Amino acid sequence: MKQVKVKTIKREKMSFWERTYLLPIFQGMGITFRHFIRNLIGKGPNISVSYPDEKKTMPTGYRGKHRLTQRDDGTVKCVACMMCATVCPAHCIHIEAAEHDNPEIEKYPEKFEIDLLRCVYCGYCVEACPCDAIRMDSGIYTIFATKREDFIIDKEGLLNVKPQDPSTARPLQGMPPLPGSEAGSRDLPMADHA
Amino acid sequence: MPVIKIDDVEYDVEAGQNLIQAATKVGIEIPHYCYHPGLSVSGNCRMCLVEVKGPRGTMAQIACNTPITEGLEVVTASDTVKKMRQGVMEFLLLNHPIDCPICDQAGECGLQDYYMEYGLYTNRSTVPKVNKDKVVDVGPLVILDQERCILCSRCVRFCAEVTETHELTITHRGEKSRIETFPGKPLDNAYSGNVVDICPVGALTSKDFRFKKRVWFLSTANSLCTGCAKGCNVYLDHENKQTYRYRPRFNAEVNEWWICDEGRLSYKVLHHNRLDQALIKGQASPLDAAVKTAADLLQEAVQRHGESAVLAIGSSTASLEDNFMLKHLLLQGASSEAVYAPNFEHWGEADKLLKEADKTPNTAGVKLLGIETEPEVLTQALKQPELKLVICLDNDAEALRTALADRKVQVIYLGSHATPLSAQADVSLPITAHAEHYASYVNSAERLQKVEQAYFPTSEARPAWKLISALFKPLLTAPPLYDDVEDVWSLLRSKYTPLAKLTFYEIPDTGLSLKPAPETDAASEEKALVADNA
Repeated sequence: MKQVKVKTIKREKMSFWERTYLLPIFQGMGITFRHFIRNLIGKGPNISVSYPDEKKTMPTGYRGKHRLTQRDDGTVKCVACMMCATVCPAHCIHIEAAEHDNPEIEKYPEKFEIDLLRCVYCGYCVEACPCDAIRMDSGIYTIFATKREDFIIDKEGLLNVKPQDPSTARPLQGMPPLPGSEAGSRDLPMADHA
Repeated sequence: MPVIKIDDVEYDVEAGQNLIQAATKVGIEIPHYCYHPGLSVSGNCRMCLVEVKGPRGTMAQIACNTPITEGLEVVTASDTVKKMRQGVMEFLLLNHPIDCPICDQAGECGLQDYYMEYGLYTNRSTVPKVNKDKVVDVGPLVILDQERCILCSRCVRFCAEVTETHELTITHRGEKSRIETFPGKPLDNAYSGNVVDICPVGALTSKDFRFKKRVWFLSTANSLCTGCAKGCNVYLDHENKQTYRYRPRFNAEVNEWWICDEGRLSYKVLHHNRLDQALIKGQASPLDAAVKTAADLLQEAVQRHGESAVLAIGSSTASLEDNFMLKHLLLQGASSEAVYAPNFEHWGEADKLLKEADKTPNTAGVKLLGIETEPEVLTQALKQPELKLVICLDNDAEALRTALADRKVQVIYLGSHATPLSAQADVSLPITAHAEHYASYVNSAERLQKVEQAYFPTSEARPAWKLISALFKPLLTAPPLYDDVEDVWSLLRSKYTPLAKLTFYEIPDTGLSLKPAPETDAASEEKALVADNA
């Protein structure tokens, strides 16, 4: 067997003065009091927000409560392709597709439900959507209800969620087909790559 | 056998096939759209272009129309071939709407698959796409989207060559070409659903499956269509204990690539009108209690009135295992051989392609087990005065109910579906249907085929052979334990010579013919020699 060389390091004993920890305690308290007094006289960088009275604007790109976007005529833009439901790691999106009367739209979600308690707010659904139909730019982070069932938000609910600030909201891209549009424009956004 | 060279490697292949078939057999995939092994060669999609070396140098040729010849030299992996495929893809996608998000074919689409491999990924077209009709109702089962069509003409050839009904055709010219039906003549032949399967893109989609499910959510089990005695092989696509569709599974000996529309839609019986609770005199009851009640009834009838008091009715809708267990345990437990499995009502029309008149999947299996299938014999047997109890396995018909109504006998019914008889029986026990168990069936050509369990039953249902062995347990001195279908097979193969040496899990996916193999010339000569010597 190979011999292992062991080097023993002797730990130095702390002196009585060091064992009382008095100096570090006073150093720490000093820092605390310095900030306390600065904030008391209004000179410090006060980062607290008096929440219910004051509200912070969330940065652009903050993933808040989901919303479904609409066509110009107010109908849901989603075509029930299930990309979001497929990519969702929390399996919180439930869609039931149905046949649309207009053959140019063809497919629409009869049911579109998101379980907000299950959602992990990863934003994959927004990235996967080929029609820009689902977004998380509402800036809403206070999601509350008294019953579990009320956290399951349905299609109407998702359509009624408004963006927090339309000026900072992401510009519309890749408009899905509009009924009666001119030839060739009924392509979905991915047609650019074909 | 001719020797051919693909990408500088020599292969020994069978003569009489084309290059796509030969290459597929040695593991080289040549992409193609219009070529289908069950149809004639059309050669219009040009996707299978490969370089073939000939006397005038290397030429581009379509593999589907290149027969195998001795010394054929082919290049399938060169940059030129790749570029040709890319060019073909560019043309095919020129007017394709690329509406994959709303297209049911997405996930199993030939265009998507080959685009990932050979696509150009940029659009060089500057003119608007040609618009054609969308959501065209061409028949009771099929919806056509002319824009998505790549005009491979597989569906046209299917209607011309397989069903010979000629409903579909290509009209117009050039970029305006499209698939159409003739005025007033919809695509409603008995096999119309197959055009959806053979369509390599999303142009023809199934009305029944439309928008029900994205295909990537579905799991697949190898199964059988139980709609008739033909036993067509199918893929059973399911998710979350729900079957969504059947797709034909290739079996050269049975259904080739096709199934009939009636069979295609027969998956619906798996979810319609199921018996999902045990019933005692029509009242819902826990399964254990119902099995106990039924076992007590059976025990009392046998022990008090003797063996002739019990009669069993099997069924050609039930599997080989279920019928076998019924017959076997009736003999063991009640020393009775009174087992009958007539098919009263499940008769329909046959045709020359696949459909058979017998609409039950296992008539040949029941005959193999030596169970009587004549309805007359059963109705006579039901008139016996000693009869006290009838065990009925998934068999209900008007004639049977009238025969039973005259008699004051107790009925134990085991069935997968709720029927009038299950409602009036003394005890009804729910059994699994073919998506919910491993079982085997014998088709009209005496081919033993098996179904895979796709999912567990949503209800309390159990495989019938399990319930039957539970019923007979008190009557047997040494009740055997059957936990798996293989345990049933250990008995089954010892009793029936055609099944000897077989195990359930070793039955091939495409089945096994139980007919004695036709004698080869050598064997018959040998026999003749032996006969001469004798």
